Amino acid sequence: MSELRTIIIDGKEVSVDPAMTLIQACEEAGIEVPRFCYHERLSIAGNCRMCLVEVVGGPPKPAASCAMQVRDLRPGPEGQPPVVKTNSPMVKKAREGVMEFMLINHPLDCPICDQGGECDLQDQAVAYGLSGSRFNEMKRAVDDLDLGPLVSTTMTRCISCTRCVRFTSEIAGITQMGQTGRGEDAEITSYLNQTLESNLQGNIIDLCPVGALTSKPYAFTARPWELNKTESIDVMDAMGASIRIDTKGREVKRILPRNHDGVNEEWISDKTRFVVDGLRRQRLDTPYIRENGKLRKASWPEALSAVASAMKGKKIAGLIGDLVPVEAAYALKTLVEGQGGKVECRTDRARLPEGNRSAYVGTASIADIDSAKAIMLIGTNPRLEAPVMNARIRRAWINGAKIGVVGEAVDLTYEYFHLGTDRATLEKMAAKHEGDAIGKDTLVIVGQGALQEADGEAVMSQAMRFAEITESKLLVLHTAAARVGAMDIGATTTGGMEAALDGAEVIYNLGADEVEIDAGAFVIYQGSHGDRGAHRADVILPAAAYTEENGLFVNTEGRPQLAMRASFAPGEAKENWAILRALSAELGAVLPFDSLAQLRNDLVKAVPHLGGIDQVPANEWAPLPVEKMGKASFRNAVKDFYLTNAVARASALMAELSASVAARGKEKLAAE
Amino acid sequence: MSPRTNTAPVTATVPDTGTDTGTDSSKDSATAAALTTTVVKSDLAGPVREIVARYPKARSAIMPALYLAQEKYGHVDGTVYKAISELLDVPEIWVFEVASFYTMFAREPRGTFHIQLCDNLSCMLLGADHMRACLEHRLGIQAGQTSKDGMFTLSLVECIGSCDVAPAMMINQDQYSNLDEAKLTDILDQLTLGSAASLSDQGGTGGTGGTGGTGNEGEMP
Repeated sequence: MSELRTIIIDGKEVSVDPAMTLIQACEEAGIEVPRFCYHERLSIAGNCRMCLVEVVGGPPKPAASCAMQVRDLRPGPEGQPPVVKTNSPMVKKAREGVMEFMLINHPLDCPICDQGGECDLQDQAVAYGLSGSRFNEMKRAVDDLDLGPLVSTTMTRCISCTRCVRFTSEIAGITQMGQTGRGEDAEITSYLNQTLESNLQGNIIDLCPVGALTSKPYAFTARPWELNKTESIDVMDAMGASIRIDTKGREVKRILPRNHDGVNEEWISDKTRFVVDGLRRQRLDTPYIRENGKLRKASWPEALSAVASAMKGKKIAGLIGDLVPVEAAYALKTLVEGQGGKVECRTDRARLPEGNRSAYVGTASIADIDSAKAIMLIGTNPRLEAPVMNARIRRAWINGAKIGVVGEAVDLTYEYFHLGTDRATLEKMAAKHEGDAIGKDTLVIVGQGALQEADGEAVMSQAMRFAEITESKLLVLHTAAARVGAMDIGATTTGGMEAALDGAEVIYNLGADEVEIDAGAFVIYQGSHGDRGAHRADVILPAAAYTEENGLFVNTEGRPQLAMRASFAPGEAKENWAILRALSAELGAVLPFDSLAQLRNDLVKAVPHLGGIDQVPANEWAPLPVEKMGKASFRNAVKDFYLTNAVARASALMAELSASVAARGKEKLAAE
Repeated sequence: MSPRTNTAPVTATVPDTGTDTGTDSSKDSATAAALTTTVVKSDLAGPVREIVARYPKARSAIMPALYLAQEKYGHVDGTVYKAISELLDVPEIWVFEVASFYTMFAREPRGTFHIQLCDNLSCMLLGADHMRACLEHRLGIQAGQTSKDGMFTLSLVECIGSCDVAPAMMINQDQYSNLDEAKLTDILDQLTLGSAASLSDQGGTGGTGGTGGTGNEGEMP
């Protein structure tokens, strides 16, 4: 960073980096400049002209503040700091003029437009526009695009800011959208009318400053001022994106991203955004008990006493699913271990080493990707496992980082060096490394696919060895939102799933839907959806989903975050921790907490770093002893992005997206 | 609709939706109908390589590559975009964006003779409207259209820099000035008669090159 420059904006002196643009300097000074095309996370287009400001002593016309740098300003004749005005008559006239042009072709359909109430054009027309129009000619009309089942288009409303084009090409890494024609004929189009092939496409809905791109599933269901907004955390992948859950009454209407520079910036994946209909379908809203092979509805006292009598004196195994908050996992662990049983959270059989946080979380944070000069991906496809993180890796690549892949050669939206698909490649790399990236900011990212086979721990040891000799930071990319938190509280059994299930007479399944449970054991399923887990259950205890209870989640970099309750669980369903607390009373082994606050107190006492909400604790590097791996190729953990958990599998929209991805795959195969 | 929209030579023949990528080029002349991406690629590969070398980024070579293709095939379409995008290793949409932005790229097949009549101030004062009526009457088409025999495309253009010898028009690369009705008839007669010969001279590609010095007389006002 070079020396700061002092400039005067509206009489206020600010010192800023000369590389900043004027609009950024204005923000620094706390002055709002209206804009449509400018977006801090996209490249600068400078085509809407809404951000015009007056540069005193500069050219006698207003300047686009988003495209002009502070270093381009000339000082006054005696070396005074340059002066910029955002409230002068010239600026006012310029804004009114731009707004008038903008509205020439914009339809007056605000009453039937979904963007109404949260529309930049609407807001800025009120704030900076004239009250009337002088335009008496015909407005133009534009044909709508079919972008697929997620993004609805009304292209006549488009003001050609090109934010969507820049997002899809720069961040999502797809090249389907563009702006064609010119002048009055300029339009945003999708090449050959293709639908969008990206799992980040929903973000263009947020980016669109007008109602040209709106959400198709949410269309005409609510107005923004009717919605209750709850700031929460996403659990669809292990990144723990910051989200805002909008509810109307008790129904979740939509999910939007919140800004979090360290995690998701301001993007979320389509699964996070559009999984909403999955929260309404297939819900468990009353307890069930299996009698004569059939499930029948039951009351809570009935179900709890059935569970308690089944559990007493038996060998119990507790399984912790992928969407379970830490509190519930902790309650289950305390309850089951109190009964002499075992708990296990590594339900996908990933060989994550117990107790060694540097090996099951790693030492890097997600933000380290930004400054990385080289990134090695081992047995992972971040595009499916954490799409938002993949966009971040893509940006590092754009900024010059070298990306290496050991594992399946998949399309990651950026170029990479494919070093090999099998474990032998990793072994060679870990034995001796001769790269030019040693000793710089480098990162090794290990996927769950690499750890799920029998030699998972050996793979981890080799990956750690490789990280060590390349002086890289390590990041373990998880696929389950609950995993790191459950590992942190030690909800594991030495020997993994096999050991935990070995000889178990009763299995307490806390929302684990991706496990096959053999016949024989008595199964209690506690969860939100009637998915695979519930089918195999002898007693079903209905619980809240992630939008319906407060809960702690630790994301893949080890950052504890709080998810908040946005609505209430349907019917008789209860919060996860409360069910376990009630059951413990039935068992006569009362858990030592009567409220979530008490539970959290206990939890933080046991695992202090869980108290540091939104802080990534540093992990001490403790490499595993290097072991010999097997001979197989690496397989990625996530095969079908849209159907990774019970909520997503309940969503009709996710099923449709999954089917269209499969169809596209077949088409591509046929074409080759 | 403003008269300005009529000046785009290619948009008026078929109502342009903006999403038209010209893939339905089957109705084009024999040369273009047989075009495939592979053929276009092999046609353009050599010269495009030279063009790319001139620029720091391959993206910059899109426009000259499009010109090259237009010179060769008379117009550009989806096949050409695909070929160029593959040659330059850029997304197809970038090529299409450039082609659709500039009115001098024809995205629909054009006649052998592309008549560009200026309708700006000087020409208009000296009778461009009458010239337009004469041309439309003689060719049986409206401005922006192509005659049925595929010989003539008439478009209205902005100033072609011949205000001193207005009214003026261009036919392919050649300029014709100080137009009046008699002269216009004469020029079109010549073109219609000579077209068979000139076609065979050019190997049937059409749309490019001059028609000799036929039109450049009459420099004096």
